[in-house]
Amino acid sequence: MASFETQLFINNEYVDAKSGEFLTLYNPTDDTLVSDKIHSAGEADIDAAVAAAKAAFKGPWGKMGPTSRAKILFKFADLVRQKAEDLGKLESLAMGSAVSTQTLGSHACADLLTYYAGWADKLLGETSYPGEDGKYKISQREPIGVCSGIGAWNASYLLFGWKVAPALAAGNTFIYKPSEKSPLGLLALGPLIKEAGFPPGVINIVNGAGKTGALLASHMEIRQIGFTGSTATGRRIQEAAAKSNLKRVSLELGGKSPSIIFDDADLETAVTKSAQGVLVNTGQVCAMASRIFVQEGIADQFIGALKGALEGASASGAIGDPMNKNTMVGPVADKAQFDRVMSYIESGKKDGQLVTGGTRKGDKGNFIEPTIFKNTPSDAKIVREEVFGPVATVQTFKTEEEAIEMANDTIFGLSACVFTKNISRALRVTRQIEAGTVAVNDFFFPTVDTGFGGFKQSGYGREGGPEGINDYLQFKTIHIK
Amino acid sequence: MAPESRHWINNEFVESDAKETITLHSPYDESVVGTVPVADEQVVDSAVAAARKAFETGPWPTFTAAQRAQCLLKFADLIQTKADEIAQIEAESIGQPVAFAKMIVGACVATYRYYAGWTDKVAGESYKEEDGTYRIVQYEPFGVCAGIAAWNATALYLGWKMAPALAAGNTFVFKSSEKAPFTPLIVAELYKEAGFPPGVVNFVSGGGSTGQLLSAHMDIDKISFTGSGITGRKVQDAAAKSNLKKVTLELGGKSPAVVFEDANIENAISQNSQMFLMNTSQVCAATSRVFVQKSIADKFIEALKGAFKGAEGAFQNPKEPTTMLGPLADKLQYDRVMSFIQSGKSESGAELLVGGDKIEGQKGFFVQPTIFLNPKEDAKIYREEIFGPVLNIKTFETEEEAIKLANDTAYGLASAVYTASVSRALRVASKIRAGTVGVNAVAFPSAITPFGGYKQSGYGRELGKAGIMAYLQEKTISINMAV
Repeated sequence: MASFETQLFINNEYVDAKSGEFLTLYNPTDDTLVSDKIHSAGEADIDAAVAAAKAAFKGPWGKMGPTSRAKILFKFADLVRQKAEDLGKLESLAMGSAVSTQTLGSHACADLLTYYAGWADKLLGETSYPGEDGKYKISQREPIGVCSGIGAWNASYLLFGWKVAPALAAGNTFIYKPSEKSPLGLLALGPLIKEAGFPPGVINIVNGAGKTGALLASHMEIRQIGFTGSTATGRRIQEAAAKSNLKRVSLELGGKSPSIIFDDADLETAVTKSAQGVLVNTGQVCAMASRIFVQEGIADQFIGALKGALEGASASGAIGDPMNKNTMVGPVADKAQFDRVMSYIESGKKDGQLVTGGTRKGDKGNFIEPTIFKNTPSDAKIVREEVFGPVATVQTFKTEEEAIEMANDTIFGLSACVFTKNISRALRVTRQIEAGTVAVNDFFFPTVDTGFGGFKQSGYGREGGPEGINDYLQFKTIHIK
Repeated sequence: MAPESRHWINNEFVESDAKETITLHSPYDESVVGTVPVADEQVVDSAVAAARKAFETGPWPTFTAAQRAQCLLKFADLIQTKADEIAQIEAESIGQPVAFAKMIVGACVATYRYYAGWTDKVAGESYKEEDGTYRIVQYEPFGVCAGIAAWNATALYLGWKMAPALAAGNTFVFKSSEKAPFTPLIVAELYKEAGFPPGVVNFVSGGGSTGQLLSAHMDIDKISFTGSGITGRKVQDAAAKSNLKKVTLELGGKSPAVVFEDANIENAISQNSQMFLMNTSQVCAATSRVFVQKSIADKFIEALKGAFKGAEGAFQNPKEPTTMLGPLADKLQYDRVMSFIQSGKSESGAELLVGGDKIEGQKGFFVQPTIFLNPKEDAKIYREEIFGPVLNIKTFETEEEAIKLANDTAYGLASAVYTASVSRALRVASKIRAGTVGVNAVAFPSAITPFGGYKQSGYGRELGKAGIMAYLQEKTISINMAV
């Protein structure tokens, strides 16, 4: 395995953490130690990063015209694109996701950088109709200043792109903390950041765990924080923000997304997409459709076919060594996740009926068989709580109204799928589902040009699309007499 | 080596046995620059057919927005590498100083990069269902678009007309001016290298007859023209008589500059001399009518006279990298400008303050920077666009008077207001009937904001978001929810 960076990246330099603290990382494929010397940022390190980001904001980056910023972002995108696979491998090493999946993730990051680079010189403000009430009115959209982001571990590059690309396009500077479960991939960006031409301090990468995240959330000079992760941690971030300097917060939290399969759906499509939903990234996707509702008439057929599809995938070698380019699905991210998912599986066996899976896969590494439960009551843990693994439940419904009610019966609201051939049903049901993203006849996959985010306790704020830049801008109203 | 002269269709240079050709001569030393064939009906039909095929069935309509963006970005990088070659040919063809020509290439590059950023950002709209109907509005390209460039900044028009059209997913047939046909042919292969499929970008050379063929073509969906008002009317007429293709016209101007007594005089002088004389004032947005407040008029006029006189020395060989000003584009333009100057001297009622003749001791079509003071209201030099280094000056007392004078023209392309007062600047800017207003500067168009005229300076806008919306049409889709 190629070597990797382990320090912090501040002011365009790799530096030791002043904290003297380190993170330890194990390879979930075989539980071997990757490193126990990954620098973890403490208070002095975060202060240094903030100082660097502030200086860059007040200095060269803040003074740079939008078109020049765009140029640097376009270049950065190309560099990430070129290195996509190498960067992907570092993710696979750290958290076991298949290198094919993570390479796609690096490309998604590059595409987001290209997309937002295009916005940099198009962030228009408004002006009022001239001459009204003796005032000339202008409203400007301005960057906020030093922004920060905390990523989850399941798609480091996508989450980094969603936060950093719009923030920089808008003219902010950034301090990013990757997840402690996946600290290597983003840290490798240092040389690319320099080559793209970012002045020092524009992008800073600080590794660490919850303590480091808390330092960012409560820092008095960080003006904004975007967080992707669990709802529990999201709450703590929001509290810390309120208690410190009321920094702006955006939260991308968990989900327990429903999939509604009507009896007029194309069954093959519904089965394929449902299976893919369970398998992609080993089910470690916030938008995963983990509560499947299928109309009574086709339920048995669907469940049988889904079981076949998942068992077929498992037997075919699609699940295996993430470093192998042909592998589609790797292990879960680490032992802690393994224990967590297996515990949910045990509860599922108690509360419902196991259709397929339900065990560890093999006897080495943190691999789990794709698992489906049926006849799980709506108040069962396995139906209420986010598992974040290759586990889904299947329930049946009679009418459209019932399906919608069951689908919305959750504290979450991140995503949903609807399978039907009828266009007006698709549009009608979509309107009534309480979720920020809905896929019709597909599983939901974000695109650069549309917003991604949740309703209810899945968070607020949107990433991607034109909305995605709003979190990084503030409006200023000017009245000229 | 003679410059490339063949038309470019379907990603290839095409031989054509043209009955008519155009030979270009340098306005500096009258040497032969090169010869281009005039595109006749067969060539134009062939170009349009290629563009139509590329739009309907080529890979182009299957390109994602991101892929279109990559082509535009790559072309921007590539044309930058040809800046020197383009500058040389423009210096030879129309006497444009190479330094200025390179700046124009830079503006072209910026335009391509700007529109690359728009490809995936023109969102339509969706609405909450009303009366049982789900409504969507989407924006779609027109299809085959055509562009007719003026001669004064060809590379600029490659950007202004084509970049947004291509970003929006259209295909294009571009006709250069017969006075400056070579630049597109220098960069034609770069479009191919950048990844544009065959037929997406086509170049034809020719003059009025070729322009007429394009304007009247039954299979062109939209045409964008930059040039004189007379020709613009012909384009619109032909479009209406043929297939009602959409038309954008960027025509001339007789733009006003208003200098108030609280203006920074030094700045006002340099803007109205150096900036006015840029490209030998062969700029559609040149502020060729200056109105200065009486209280500072004497001082201002004296200083401007001095600046104009001093500028004479800046007219040199356009191929020299240090040359700031070149000759007029050709003999036709020279005769035209001289004729206006003659009219100014003999029938305008104005006082000739400086200039008024050709520049002595210089070969080539050089004319002295010229100022006329107080022409009559109906004087030719005051009403008509000269497109040369000839300025009118009048004085005014009040702001209302200045605005009235500024708006007293059939045109409305550009304008400038010089004042230290923010509220006056905004107030006056809002009252001048022009598509662009510069405050305390001659505003050079930026890719970011729209450019175009009021009144007889044309209609439609290029650049900015408006520039790409001009190459898209709205489609409303209404879905019956009851079925």
